[in-house]
Amino acid sequence: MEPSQTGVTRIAASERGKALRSREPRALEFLRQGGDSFLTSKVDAVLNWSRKYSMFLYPFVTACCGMEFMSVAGPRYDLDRFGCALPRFSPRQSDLMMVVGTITHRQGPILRKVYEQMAEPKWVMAFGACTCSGGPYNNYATVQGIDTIIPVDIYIPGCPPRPEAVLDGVMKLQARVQAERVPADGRHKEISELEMPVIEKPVA
Amino acid sequence: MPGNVITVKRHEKLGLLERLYLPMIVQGLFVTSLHFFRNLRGFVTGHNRTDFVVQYPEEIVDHPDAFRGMPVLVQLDNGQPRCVACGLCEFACPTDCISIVPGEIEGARIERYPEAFDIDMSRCMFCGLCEEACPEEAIVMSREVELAAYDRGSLHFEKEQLLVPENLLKRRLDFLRGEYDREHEPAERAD
Repeated sequence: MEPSQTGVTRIAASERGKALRSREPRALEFLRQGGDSFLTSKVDAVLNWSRKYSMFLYPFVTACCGMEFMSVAGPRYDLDRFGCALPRFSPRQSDLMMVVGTITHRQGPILRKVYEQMAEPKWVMAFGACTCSGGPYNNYATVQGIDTIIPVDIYIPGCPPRPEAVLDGVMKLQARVQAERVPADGRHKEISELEMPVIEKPVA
Repeated sequence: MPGNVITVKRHEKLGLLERLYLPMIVQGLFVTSLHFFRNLRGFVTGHNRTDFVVQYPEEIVDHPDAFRGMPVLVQLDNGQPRCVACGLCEFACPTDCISIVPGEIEGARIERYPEAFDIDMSRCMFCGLCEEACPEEAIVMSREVELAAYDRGSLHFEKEQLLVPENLLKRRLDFLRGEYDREHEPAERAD
């Protein structure tokens, strides 16, 4: 199939506009500020490399964002190219839980239970506006952001997010995984000790 | 019994080559390998691309003019936003993600300006109703969608982060004028 027949015009990366990149340093700064004192080693680098390039997904799909998840996993914008090829529909066997779609208050305990059943190391992706902050549903039924229930590693806004946005999120998550270090005391934190991200400005 | 009887020859006895499974497996893999190497050559050389994949970070799709990405504020040449803080976009937004604090410039031809203009991008649904409601062509949907962030605070965009120079938004502004059948550009701000 000729590329022109698919209706896709591909642009090389050099032509992309740079005016909207001003917010990137903010994200990187968050990462650079880090946390504990770290024990850097080559072992960490190799382990993180192997973890980030072979993520087993748990697609916790509830709503419309699932359609966009399917199109990211499909052949045009291929998640397999980033190593996130195989969805494992068991939390015990997966690394990355992608929470895709609206989470209601009824679904909240289920989400928490599934998250607790995942084995370390595990990461969570908030896919779509509903999971980031409740999205358009600012009401009594919807959880206003899944980070009120479980810790989230990467937020991907959009309603639904374009596949390019999701792949950008996957790449940023990979950067975050690469930057992980074992804490100096060598002990992995228990779930109850994980800090939930503090939301400084209450937004409507 | 009426009707035509059709005798079908069933090839039930396997030949030698078929009983040795490996040649048949190779024959089956041949088609897949053909596609694989064809795609690989196309990817490496860049010519004769026959695959369907958009190799995302290195190449992106050129979306149509009507594509709605992140809403941004149009910035005039003097660095100020074109926005007059009328609040129509705030009112039109279905998710209530826009917050405007209007300010006043004494004695200017256009007195109102937004002292603060916040968009909570984690709530934004990229519907474009703010752009449709705006009477000044001050807020438009850009083509930016790659907004993934490590924390929710990063998704709260303030006025400085939303300003984009007008010349970078030409494509969208031209599309809007054609779409809404506007024959003239909005009045220029004197200050």
